[in-house]
Order: sequence, then C-alpha cells, then structure tokens
Amino acid sequence: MARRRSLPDEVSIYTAASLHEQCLGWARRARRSPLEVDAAGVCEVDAAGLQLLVAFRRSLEARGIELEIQRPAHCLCAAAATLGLSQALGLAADGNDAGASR
Amino acid sequence: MKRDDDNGYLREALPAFVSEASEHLQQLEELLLQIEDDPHNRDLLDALFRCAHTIKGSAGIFGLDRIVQFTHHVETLLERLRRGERAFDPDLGTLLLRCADHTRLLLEHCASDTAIDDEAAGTGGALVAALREACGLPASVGDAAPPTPAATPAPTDAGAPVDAPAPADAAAPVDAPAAAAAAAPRDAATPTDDAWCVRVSFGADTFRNGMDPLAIISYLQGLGTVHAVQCAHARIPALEELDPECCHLVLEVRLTCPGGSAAIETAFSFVREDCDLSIERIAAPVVSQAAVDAAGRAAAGPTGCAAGAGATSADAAIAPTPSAPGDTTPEGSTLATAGGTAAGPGGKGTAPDATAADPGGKGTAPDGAAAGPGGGVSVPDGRGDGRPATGGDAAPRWIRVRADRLDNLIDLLGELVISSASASLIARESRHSALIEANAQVSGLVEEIRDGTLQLRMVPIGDTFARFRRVVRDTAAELGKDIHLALVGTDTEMDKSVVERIVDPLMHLVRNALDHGLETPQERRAAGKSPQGRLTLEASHESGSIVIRIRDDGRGIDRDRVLARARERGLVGTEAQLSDAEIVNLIFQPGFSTAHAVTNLSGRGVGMDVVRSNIEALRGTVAITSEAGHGACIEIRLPLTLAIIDGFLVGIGDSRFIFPLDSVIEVVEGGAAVLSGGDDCRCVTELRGQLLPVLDLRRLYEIESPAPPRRSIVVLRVGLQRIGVIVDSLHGQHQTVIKPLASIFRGLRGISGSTILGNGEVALIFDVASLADIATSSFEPSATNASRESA
Repeated sequence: MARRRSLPDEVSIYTAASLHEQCLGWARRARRSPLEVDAAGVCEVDAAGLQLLVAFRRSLEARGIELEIQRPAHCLCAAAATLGLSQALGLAADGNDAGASR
Repeated sequence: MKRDDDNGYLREALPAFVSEASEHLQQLEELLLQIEDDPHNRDLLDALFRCAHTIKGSAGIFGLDRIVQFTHHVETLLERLRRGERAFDPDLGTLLLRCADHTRLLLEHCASDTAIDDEAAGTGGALVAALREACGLPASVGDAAPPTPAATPAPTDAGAPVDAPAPADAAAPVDAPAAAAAAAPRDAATPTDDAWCVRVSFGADTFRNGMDPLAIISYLQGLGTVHAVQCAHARIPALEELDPECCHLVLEVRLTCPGGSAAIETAFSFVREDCDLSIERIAAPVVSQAAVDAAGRAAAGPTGCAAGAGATSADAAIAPTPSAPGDTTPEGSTLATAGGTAAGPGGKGTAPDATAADPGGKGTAPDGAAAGPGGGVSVPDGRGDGRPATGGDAAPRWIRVRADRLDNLIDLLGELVISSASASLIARESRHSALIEANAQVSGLVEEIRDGTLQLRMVPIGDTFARFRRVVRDTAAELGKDIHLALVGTDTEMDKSVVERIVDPLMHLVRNALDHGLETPQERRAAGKSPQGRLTLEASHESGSIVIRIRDDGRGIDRDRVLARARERGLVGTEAQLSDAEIVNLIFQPGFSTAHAVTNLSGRGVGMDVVRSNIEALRGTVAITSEAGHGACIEIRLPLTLAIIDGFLVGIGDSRFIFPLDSVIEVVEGGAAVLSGGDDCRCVTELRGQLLPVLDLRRLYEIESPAPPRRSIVVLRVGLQRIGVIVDSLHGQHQTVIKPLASIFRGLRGISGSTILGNGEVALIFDVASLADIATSSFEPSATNASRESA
C-alpha cells in the first residue's frame, strides 16, 4: 500500500467507533505482512483505544499478518505499559511517565 | 480525559471535591492536634493517614497533580509514623500542620484555577524537603519523586514471566529475572506486608460510563509502586467481533501500596458498581512472582501456561495455548495454578482467569472469571476485606444538600406554619368539631415537620470549636505561653447559619483571652498558679438558647483600669457608680480598648464592640464576668435557630406581641400590685418577697387604648436576670415564623422581628434581652442588684 496509514491524534473512546471502521477497512485490504501504521501523531490514548488496537492486531494475526505500529508516540507507549499491553501491541515499553497519558 | 464534556463533568464535580478535601484537611488538622496529646494512639495515626490518603486519592481523580505530589510526601511520612518507624514529636506536628496549610493553599488555587506563586512553590519545596528528611530520605526530591512511579517496566507487563510453560518459549526465562530485577530495587525500600494483587474485570459499560481503566491504573501507580500489570488481552475479541465501546479488559496488578486494600479500593470507587474486583494481600510481589514462576514450571507446563495470557501464536508473549494442549479441564488448571502460587501467604495465581480457563484462546471464555481461582475470592459487590477500613469514616451516612435548597424548604415551612395556623383559626370559628380535630392533627404534623426540618440545619458546634485548637496552639507558641485548650459540650447542636456567623466573634474572643487574659508561665508561677494556662470553650443548651462560654484562668479583668479608661474616653461620667458587672461589660462599648500596645494578635482594629454587635445581629447576647487574678468568663447566648421559634402570644390593646416561649418563666395573672410607676414605663413589683423590675408596655409603646382593670405580668428570664412585663391578655403558645422587620423599624427598642398570625394580623416579637435593658438600665442600683441577687 503506497498510501500511508496513520492513527488519528486521539485513540480513545471518542474516536473508537470511527477508528474501528478504519481498522476494519485496513484489515480487509491488507495483503502482506507486516501492516504498518504510523502512530507518531497520537497524543491522546485511553483504555478503549488500546483495546481497539489489540483487537486490530489480533485480527491481523489471525490471517498471519503482523501489525507494526511505527514511530509510536510516547503517550501511546506509556499507556500500553500502564495497562500491561506493551507486548500485546508489540510496543517497546516506554516507562518514563505513564501519567502523561492522562 | 481532556475532552470537553469530560472536563465539564470534572469541573462540575470539582467544588464538591474542594469542599470535601477542605473537610478532610480540617480533620487532619484536628487529628494532628489530638495526636500531640496522645502520640502513641494507633487509631489516631491510622485516621491521620487515611485522611491524607483520601485527599491525595480524590485529587488524583481530578488530575490535580500538584496536590497529589505534595500529599504523597505527607502520606509517606504518615505511613512511617503509623508503622512506628518514626515517633511523633511536636516538631513533626508543626511540620505536618504547615503541610496541611500548604495543601489547603494548593486546594484554593485549584478551586480558583489560578497558578501558585513562587513563594508558595518555594514553601512547598521546603516542606517536601523537610518531609523527606523526616522520613530519613535525601531531602532533594529530584526526579525520583515517587508519586507517579515510573510506569511498569516493560518486561513485567505482559505476563510473560508467569506463563513460563513451554520450554520452547524463550521469552519467559529471560523475562522473569528481568522482571524480578526491575522490581527488586524498588521493592527493597518497601516492606513486604504491603504487597497486593489486584484483579479486576471491568464491566462492559465502563467506557460508556466515561471511565477509563488507564486512568485508574495510573492512579494506582500514585498510591504505591506498581510492579506488574497484566492484561488478559486474549479476552479482547478480534476486530470483527469487537464493539469498540464495550470494555473487555481484565487486569491483574501487583503492587505495593502502603495504604492497603482500602486505599486500592478507592481507585476503583467510580467503577465499583460494574466491575469484579478482588484485592489480595500477597507476599512481596517479587517473591510471589518467582513463586508463580516456579509453580508454573513445576506444575508441568499446561497449568502454568494456562495462567498466561495466551491467544494467538505469532507473538511469543501472547502465544501460549498451543503449548498447553494437554490440559482439558480449565477449572482444574486454574485451581492448580492457584495452589502453586499459594506459596506466598494468600498469594493466588495470576489473574486473567478467563484466559486460563480458555484453552482455545478465543478470548471469549464463558464465565471464565467466575470459574477461575478468582471465583472463590473475588468480591463482586465490593464488600471485600478492604471495606471495613473505608467504612471507618463512613459510619454515619451523610447526604450533601445544597444550603439554598434547605433555605427554600425552611421558607416554605414558614408559610406552611402560618397557613396551618390560619386554618386552625377558621376551624375553631366554624365550631365544626370534626374539622377542628382534623386541623389539630395537621397542626401537630406541621410542628413535627418544623422541628425535623430545622434539625436538618443543626450541626454540632464541635467542628467549629475544633478549629480553635490550631489557633490556640499557634498563638500560644507565638506568645511564649503554655496553654491548654479544653472543649466542653462539643456535640451541642446549633443552626448552621448561626454557627457560620459566630466563628469570627469567637475567634476574636479566643485571641483576646490568649493575648490579654492568660499570662506567661513566669507570670503565672509568680502569681502562684500552675504554669500552664487553661482556656475552656464550652457550649450547652439553656432554656432554648445556646450558651457558649469562653473561660480562662488568666489574670482577669482589671476593673480599675477599665473604669479609668472608660472615664478617660468619656464612656461613663466621673460620678457614675457602676456595679462590678457593669464595669467589666464596659469593654464591649465602642471605642474601648485597654491593651497597652496593639499586638499582632488582638487589637487589630476589631474591638469588642464589633463582637457584641455581631452577636446581637444573631439575636444573641454577650456578657463577661471576671474575678481579678482568677480569670474571666465570656458568655454568649444565641438563639437555637434564626427561623422559627415557639412563641408566647400576648395582647396589649388591639396589638399582639410574642415572647420567645423559652424565656417565659411564669405568668402572674390578674392585677399584680405594681409598687412604683410615675410617668415612666418602668416600675417595680414584689414577687414572692423579692423585687422585680417591671415594664409597662402600654406606656413604653404608647399604645392608646384604655387599660383593662385586671392585667397580667409575664415574668421573663434573661440570663441571670428576671424582669416582668405588664400585658393585657394572654393568648398562649404560638408557633412563630420570624420575619425580619423592615429597616425603618430597626431602631425600635425591644422588638426583634415580626410574624404573621393565623388571621393575617401582624404580631411583633420581643427581643427579651433589650427589654431587660430597658427595664433595668439606669435604674436605682439597689433595685438592679436586688433582682440580680434574687436570680
């Protein structure tokens, strides 16, 4: 895919519905592994957003495609670490300041 | 969390938080002062800790990081005190009191949404340094500030160490030591008896209810040190089946938390209703981690593995199930895990029971959580072990009601009382017995409702008194005096509106007593008294009013100096002969101050006359008695309530008047012999051999109607005095709703308000104290004294 996939600046309950649609679309069109999603612009994360990303990753994995979250923003890493989802999302834990995600 | 509506929600809730936190601070302060007298009282120390902890906890929910960070240090110190690692001493008390002040300051800034200035920030920094020093920690906080301990280190977060099943799984053995290593240094500082394992399965509606598990876990990190978080991500369905607004998160958190399970539970208080929560004490998280690990391995793959987080295969960390094929009895496996990990006391297996019970790794294990080891220990309704602790401050249950709603209710009640009186009147006139009876019943109920409603506004005065502990402590220290404050009758209740308005006058009087009344230890010793001065604040109910006494055993009031000053100021004529009582009460005259020098404490321009007018504005009175060399006692009398009283209705001519029933002692019916009179409205009668000053209201108010041949005298009690009032007719008890007088009538002597009778007529309510003034002022001293002695 030439077009760049990127996560919105907010990955949270407020964007969960639209992001869900988007991820479904990405998942449907995904043909090769890994599927890359840019996460540099994420600045708001909550548990609902993380849950959605985990689900996304699982769906892809079921088809043998790996989700690669690229350039994850600090707050995303921190939030994933806080909820113990770093590995589930393939994110390096960035444990400096989990509070920043709030 | 930064969404507008979320912000709006928090903003709305903020005032409630601020008021609650202020109360907690107040309580904190009181506890500190109590502890000074009883430094080894474990209950007090516990309560103190809980108080600080609650403030920190709720501040965390509102994201008030500054308060969280600051109170965290306070909490750390309190924890040490509580554990007996550090003994309480007065210096520590002073430090903690200053911390309470600083927290209050921070709170005010939060409430007004203003930034704190450099000075306050400097104070905060200094306090934190002092706190850390008191804890035996390096004073500099640096980046190691613990309030938000570094987020869970990576290796520990995914449960890899726990599900160390398959030899093929290279990640686990590597991860486990890493986890231990990561947690160990921190753990070394934290005692092991505070290690907890929290398992929570969030309800499906968690997100929709505006709650964010992420924020909750972040909050937990502020409570202590989170060593590991595992998320049963296998329970999260695949994208296709996912309702993105449904919460599927099941977490296990291992942490050390000095606040204990009660503290942990507070983190979940907003989701308590719809989550399954279990909080268990475990051996130190590291140990238990290792135990889990070992158990996992020992339990021969399948069991240990099942406890993992397993889902699909690609990721080693979330891979487990294929390697656990042998295990076909989910329950058995989980229970085995539980058994294995029980190596640590109370330690249980890893949390994500559902995943454990879900060999298929579909993440949709039906009822998994209940089937797992959690089934036995989780407490769905939250009445877990942590409950009794939190219940401590919830013993009497409270409902917060907006004061203006209550005021509206009381206004309405006033109207109801009047209407009911009017209905009773009409019923009586109709002579319809059934109607009269029905009305009597209604009146009875109205009366009960009146009492009940007024009761709603009653608060014990103890809370107000308690704040003087601090004042006395600080002031005494400042003046180099040793003063013991005793509070008596703290559960005496009075109307909140009265309480609020009595604080300032009381404060002034207390400061005055501290400053002028009580002496320094040297002076006291010289006077042959014990070096410690004693100040007593005392409240009681006395014939329908509240009496507050401020008593000290200081030097008392120097009558000669008072008299000299009063003459100097022209307050009394040089010839006037005044009784002792009159002299000491001169200090309430405007423009009177005997202090040689205006000190920092009292004499700040607010004189005793202002105190008196404040008290009188509440329909109260103030008087002082003093014995030179032995102290003084200031007595404040206040009405129980400002709204409705039981009145005694009398008539003079066509006019109706009301006495507060509580001040009526007796009625002498029929023509009592009035001794003297003349043109004056004042006269004297003899009652059982004693002189009684009597006021003729017909003359006082120039009521133009012929006096009936037989008149009655109502005998009233005003403090220690008694006076009589001549009236024409007696109409008995009357529920009286007090309406203020229009300002044009403010100057009216002897009248404090008005009320509306059942027939629509207006009746005036007497201010008994000022009637007494009229009756006795500039009366022959002999008569006044006679009446006083008779009382």
